[in-house]
Amino acid sequence: MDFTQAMARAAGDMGGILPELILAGTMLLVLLADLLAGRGRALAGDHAAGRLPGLVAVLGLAASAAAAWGQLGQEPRLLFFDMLAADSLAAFFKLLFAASTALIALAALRLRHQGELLALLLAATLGMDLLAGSRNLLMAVVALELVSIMSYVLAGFDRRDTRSGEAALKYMVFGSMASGALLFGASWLFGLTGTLDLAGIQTALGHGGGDSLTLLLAALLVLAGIGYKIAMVPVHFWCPDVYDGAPTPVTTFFSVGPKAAGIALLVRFLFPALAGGAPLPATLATGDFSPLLLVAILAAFTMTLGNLAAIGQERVKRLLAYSSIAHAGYLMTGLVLATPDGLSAVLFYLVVYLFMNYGAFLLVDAVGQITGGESLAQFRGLGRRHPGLAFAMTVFLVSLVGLPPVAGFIGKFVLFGQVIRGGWYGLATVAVLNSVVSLYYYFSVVKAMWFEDDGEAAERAPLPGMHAGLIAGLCALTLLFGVWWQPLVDLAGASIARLI
Amino acid sequence: MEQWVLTLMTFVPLLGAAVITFLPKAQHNLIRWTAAAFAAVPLALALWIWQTYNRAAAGVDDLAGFQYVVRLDWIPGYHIQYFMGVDGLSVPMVLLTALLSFLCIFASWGITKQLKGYFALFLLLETGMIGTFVSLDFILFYVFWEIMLLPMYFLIGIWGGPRREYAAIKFFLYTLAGSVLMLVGILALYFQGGHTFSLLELMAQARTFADPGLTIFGLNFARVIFVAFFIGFAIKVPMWPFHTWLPDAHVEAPTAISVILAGVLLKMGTYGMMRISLPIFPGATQDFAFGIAVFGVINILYGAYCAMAQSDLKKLVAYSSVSHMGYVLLGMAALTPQGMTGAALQMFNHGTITAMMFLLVGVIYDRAHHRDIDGFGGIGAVTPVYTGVAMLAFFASMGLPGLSGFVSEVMVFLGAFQAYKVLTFLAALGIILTAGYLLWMIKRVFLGALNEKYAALPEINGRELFTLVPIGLIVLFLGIYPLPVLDLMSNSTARLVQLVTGF
Repeated sequence: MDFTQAMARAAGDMGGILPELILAGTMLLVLLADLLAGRGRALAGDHAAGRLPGLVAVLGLAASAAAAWGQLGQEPRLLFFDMLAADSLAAFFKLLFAASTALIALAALRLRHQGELLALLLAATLGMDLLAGSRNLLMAVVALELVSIMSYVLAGFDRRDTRSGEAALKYMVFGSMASGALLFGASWLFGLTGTLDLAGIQTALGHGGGDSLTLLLAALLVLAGIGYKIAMVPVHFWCPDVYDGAPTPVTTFFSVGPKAAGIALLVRFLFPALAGGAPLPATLATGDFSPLLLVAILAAFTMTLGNLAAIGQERVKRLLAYSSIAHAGYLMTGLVLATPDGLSAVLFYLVVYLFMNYGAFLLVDAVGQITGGESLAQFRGLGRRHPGLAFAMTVFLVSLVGLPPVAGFIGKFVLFGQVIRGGWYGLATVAVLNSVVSLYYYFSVVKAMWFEDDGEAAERAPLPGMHAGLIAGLCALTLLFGVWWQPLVDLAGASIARLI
Repeated sequence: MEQWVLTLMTFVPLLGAAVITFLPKAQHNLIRWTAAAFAAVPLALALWIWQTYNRAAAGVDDLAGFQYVVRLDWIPGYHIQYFMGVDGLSVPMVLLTALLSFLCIFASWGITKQLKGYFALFLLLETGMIGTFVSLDFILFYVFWEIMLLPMYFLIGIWGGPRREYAAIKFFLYTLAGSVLMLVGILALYFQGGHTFSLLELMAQARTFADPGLTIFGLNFARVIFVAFFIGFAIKVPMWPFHTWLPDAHVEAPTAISVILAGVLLKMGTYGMMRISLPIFPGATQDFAFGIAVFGVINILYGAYCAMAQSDLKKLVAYSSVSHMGYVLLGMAALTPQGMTGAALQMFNHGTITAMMFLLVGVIYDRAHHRDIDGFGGIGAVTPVYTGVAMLAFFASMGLPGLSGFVSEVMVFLGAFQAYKVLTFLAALGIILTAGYLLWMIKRVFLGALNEKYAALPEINGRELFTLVPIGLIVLFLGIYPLPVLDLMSNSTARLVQLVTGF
């Protein structure tokens, strides 16, 4: 194939990355809008103009989401010489990422330097989109770096706060190590198979390449690289510090988007041939080495350690950081089944997790703005001061525990149901007992809000209207999907309907 | 109407809870009467069901035997249905729940702290309780089962005694640990049983689950899942050694909530066993029946011994519940018609008797502000009416002939003796212990020299009598003529025994 032919083919593939193209365009528009808004402010003292970048970003994300929605029903295909997959799974993740970033764009309107913040968020989202479609380890590494570098800057976005700077540095040091591990693992696989194409690696290994020890090492290195993104034990150490130190809207972003992107990459890595039917053939599975068992063990440790470490945390953000580690463990359980249904349950859980986790983090942000602090002390007596907020927080926490009749329950119901269906009773039991442990620390917040008195509450600001609206919306969705979740079943089903 | 009566019963209290949250905070009496009005609706409907229920039907595993059935698709993707109906096992429980909930609204009249929240949560709790007893779809059942936990947590944690926060979270953690095991069991049944959550369809597949070829961890599927469910239900009963949450929760909870806990929530454990464990796992039930009977006897004796050692009146009543729920376990495990009917009747009777006892403790606590058994003395002379009602309750709890507790205990013993002679003999010793701790308590509190501190103890008032007298009349009436409740349940219990023993 000569250059012109290749270019023509690549140009033909452009339609497959429409959501990504929209994001890239929006990023540029946002920077332009910021410039205009800055001029507007300077000329007329017009504060409404400051909202312009945010408006552009939300519109762009909505367009990207619409494009992703359109891709959900399209026939799956490979783009750019098998670098990227455009299938319903990728479309689902693009939809999820656009929605989650749009919520953050709305929640972050109060932060300074709107234009830069939004551009960084959009670039990270672009990276996440590419990650979800990666079919090649090189593509995955590049996309992962895009997400990671944007994340480092985002973590340190509040320059006046030393905690934020510390978070950025820690994130970067740890992230670089993890990227190195991923690259090193990829080089092993390349050495074993002579290709970086994920499907090619699988085929080559399927023909009996490498002994189990070599494969275990390669798998561990790659898993460490991917695992750090989803805060998997034992590469989770950065998570509490970064979540705690970063500005809360950014933490909120970290807790769902990049984590889901990591899960997407894990799916692509473990099961390059998703259309293979159940049980999906897993990469690296040869002889006596089962990568799925490895994932199951890591999942059990991740959820248990996350939950145990969350007990006794005084800072609510830190508590939720550990909770997000535990949830990464829950999400991983869906992958050990190696079935499209298991995958669909993971996607189902991700949607539910988006609503409830965003709700909880945004509420922490709201309380932080009202009281100036984010510890349990600031939540004391919230039930009396802001019954609406305390009610919403209770709904989110109950949902995170996984109790009916709210969405978290059906998430766990669907996910653990598949685990049980796959015959992993031990893993399912560990997972449900973990929910009991999580009740204890989530309800330390509930206890503070409703049972304890605050003495004198120092309130320095009213509840911002945007937060009130977002929290109310997320709370309503969390409640609604708890009793009527057929639409989510349908969405998760559509997401695995057309796979590569 | 027939089709919607159970839905109305379940959700009218929820509507009430919603209405109450919109009432003005300062209008205390308006809030109380609104709660009473919304709690009256399920009671009226329960009485109507009691009147119109066809006593010839059996139910249990036979859809045709269920009455007031409603069955609609809820989540088609997972074959979850909105499936409700009642049979002889559930009607007495629904009746008990609706009655105690209504009376407990009046027993809560003295609450002044955050009235709106209290009554809204109370009504939410009632929705959960009634829903649990009428659900025939496993997920619906589970949702209602879990919905009860949240209001209970808040009711104990906000309106409870000094150690309320500890008691509330302990109750929550214990029961949640039980119910998540149950959830694993439910999901395992769903995927093994051809993707259905209908209890009746699962019962029809009892043989599939009992297949020796089907294993979990190398053990028989039906047995493992039976144990998972059993632990979940046993925590609720509560069965020794899972009972330690009960004394804490009962002592710290406000009076009305103790009544609901002991009167209704404990029954959910044994109700769950009868509704779910026995008919879905008849083989495993037979295998484990002796073990359950042993645990029942341990409950009877251990609970009674613990009750004897208590100095706190409320704790004594709490441990008496542990003891009396042992009779239910024993009667059920006998797998004889008398034993099963006795167990079902004991559930109803214990619900009424223990409710009276907790209400009585509440009455005296409101006046004396303590519950120390040794801190009273001779108050029988000061408050004759109160003492009279109290004697009725305590003697009924003791199993005095002519009162309702006697009937069910005798039936349990009759049924159990056919199966386990030694165990029944040991269990009968529990009656002596019960008489021991109750009479000793009566002596110290009501009889003997008057403690001068309580020479002017006010007599029980009209509102309190209103909560006690209806239950007292039921206790007395069923002691003499138990047929009105027995004929509700006897067909169903007989069918249940037949289902298990005929497997």
